[in-house]
Amino acid sequence: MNKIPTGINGFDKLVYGGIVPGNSVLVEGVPGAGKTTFGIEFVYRGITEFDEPGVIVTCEELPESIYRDALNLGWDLRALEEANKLRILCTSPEVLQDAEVNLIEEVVREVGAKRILVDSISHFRNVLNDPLSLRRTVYSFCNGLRRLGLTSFLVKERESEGQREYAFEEYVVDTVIRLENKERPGLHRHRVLEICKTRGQEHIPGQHTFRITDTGIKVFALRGTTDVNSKAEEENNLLLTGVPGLDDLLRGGLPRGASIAIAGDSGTGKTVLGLQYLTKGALDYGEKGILLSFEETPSQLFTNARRFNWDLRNLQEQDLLKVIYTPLSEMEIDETIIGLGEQVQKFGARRLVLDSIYAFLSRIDNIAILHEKFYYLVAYLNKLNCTTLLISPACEVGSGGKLELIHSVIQGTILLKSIMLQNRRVRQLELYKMRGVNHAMGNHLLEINALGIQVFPRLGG
Amino acid sequence: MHRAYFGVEGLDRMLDQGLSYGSQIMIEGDSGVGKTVLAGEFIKEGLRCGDTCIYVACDEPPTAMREHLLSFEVGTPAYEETGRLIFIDAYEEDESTEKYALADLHNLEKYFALEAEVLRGCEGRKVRLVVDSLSTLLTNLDISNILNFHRTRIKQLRKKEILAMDVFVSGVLEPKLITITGHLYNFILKMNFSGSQNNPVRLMRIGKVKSQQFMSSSHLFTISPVYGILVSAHTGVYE
Repeated sequence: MNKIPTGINGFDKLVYGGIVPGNSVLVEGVPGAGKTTFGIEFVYRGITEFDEPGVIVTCEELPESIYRDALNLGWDLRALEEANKLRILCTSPEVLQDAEVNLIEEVVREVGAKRILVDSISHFRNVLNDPLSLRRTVYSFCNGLRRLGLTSFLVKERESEGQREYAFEEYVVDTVIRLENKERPGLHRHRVLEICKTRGQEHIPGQHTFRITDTGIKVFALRGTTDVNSKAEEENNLLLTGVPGLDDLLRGGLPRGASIAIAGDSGTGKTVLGLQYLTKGALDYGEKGILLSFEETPSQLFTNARRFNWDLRNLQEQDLLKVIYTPLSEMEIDETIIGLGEQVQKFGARRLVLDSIYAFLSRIDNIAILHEKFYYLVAYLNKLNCTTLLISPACEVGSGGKLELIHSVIQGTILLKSIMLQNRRVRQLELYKMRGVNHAMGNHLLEINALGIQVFPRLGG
Repeated sequence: MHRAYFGVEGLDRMLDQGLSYGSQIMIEGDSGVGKTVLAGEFIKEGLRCGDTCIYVACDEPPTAMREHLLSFEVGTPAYEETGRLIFIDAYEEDESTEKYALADLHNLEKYFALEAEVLRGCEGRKVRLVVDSLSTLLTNLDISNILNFHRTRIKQLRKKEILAMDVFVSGVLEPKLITITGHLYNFILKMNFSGSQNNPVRLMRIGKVKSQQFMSSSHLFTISPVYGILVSAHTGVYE
């Protein structure tokens, strides 16, 4: 099927490559959802990346403000106009609906346009009160654009958030994209995009988050991530953790391409275990690793690691380790998952530590959504053949709830504990779950000494 | 196939076929009867025939064994430098200056890990391991822990063909535990004081030799400051 890519980062994945040429796409959403930016980027990318000149019709903004806002994203529309590849038409809805005045047709011919953005078609409602003639007008307007060989993005304003009402425009156009700017736990909002309809072509259903970055829109299509083609290595399928004693309990090591939760209260040694896993991986086994931290800054981590004589800075300089710090307050789940996957591929990481998944838990109240996001995270990383340690808060086994749910998605859970034994506080480690590994059960002594973590397998098995 | 001996003439004579590497010896005896001296003879013999000897000092610092060996004209530094003689300090805990030291005497897992680490460094060699005394390490631990420890450890030692000698001081562990533990060893030697209060004598008796015939009679022995343990020449029975 012939399709034209929109050029919007991540979006084309959702429509398997692009939009059918000549189709009308309705972009609807509440104020601040990013509709205009979405439309302008469609036209801008068409000109700059696919040599398809375009037209922007606006009934509301003045060209000046469009130039200014676009320039903030690095898009020089004025230069494109001067190069005769773009026209910005500022007009009223009355003129647009007047069949006698073929303003659009003229402009389209002038630049040989292939793409058009109309911002917004909601204004037709202001000049036409009769529903029937309104529908007829919009229909003939869309048809007119198609006749001119244009693929069109039509912006439509929504006044209420959440409530789903089906406006006639949705029946008239070929594709409907809904943009939202939603509230969510904490002090955060996030932008969500959903393709509600694509006539004559497939799309990936569901809601996808997106962000307006310095260079334009970036859509984070989690469902696309599970298509990564990667074969688990058949030879040497075990990965040595670098923690003395732990590999004995694991009967050799962790399965490759698995995600393992390291769960425990604070002070039980989770982060040290993660650091040791990466450091030993790099130094002893020559495997690259990534540490994604949401709570501690790289310099804090470097300082902590130095206490065990692990020079993370040096490992980073040698390109064996990468420490990525994303402050909890700025973390976006979908973006993190996709970004992490990209980093793993680019860097060639075989080991990954995510410290901690509390960042994920705190963002999503809805257990079903959390479950799904986690599934994508784990599936994506596993397919990349990366063995991931997910540092996790302590989990009461069998208590249900968010954590229990997460532990059902991943391949293994290692519990770290701190208990009183004969008036001494001792640390213990338990392999609670390790799918596909004949592991030793029960609590085993764990110690943190000058060399890091050492596990002492319980005698007698 | 190499056979090992204690280096104590009278005792070795009782073992026609000697001991194979991978055997586990249990020495049980009264305090002061000469168990450590026997351990010293065992190490001396090992060094003489090219074995790597590991001595785990639980009741005294390793220096005591160094001095003991020196008194029998075995200088230890040369052996230690070449890795033929290794001391594990299971006495001083944190204050130890030894290369190998057990930091926590209350934990069998940690002892096991340390022992395994030292043995890993001796792979491919004939090794004698002496723990003097193992009963000290096992005090205050519950019976199931001790038995688990024994089973796991002895299995490993057998697999690695380590000639192991574990010393037990009489009366430290419950008799029931000693009986059960004894089943796991394939050679048992009992040493005790006997005779009258005014004239005590030292006796040794082989309690068990797996798959070999042995005389279970008691033998008088003395400790000479020059020759070490001397088992009475006659094979007569002292009852």
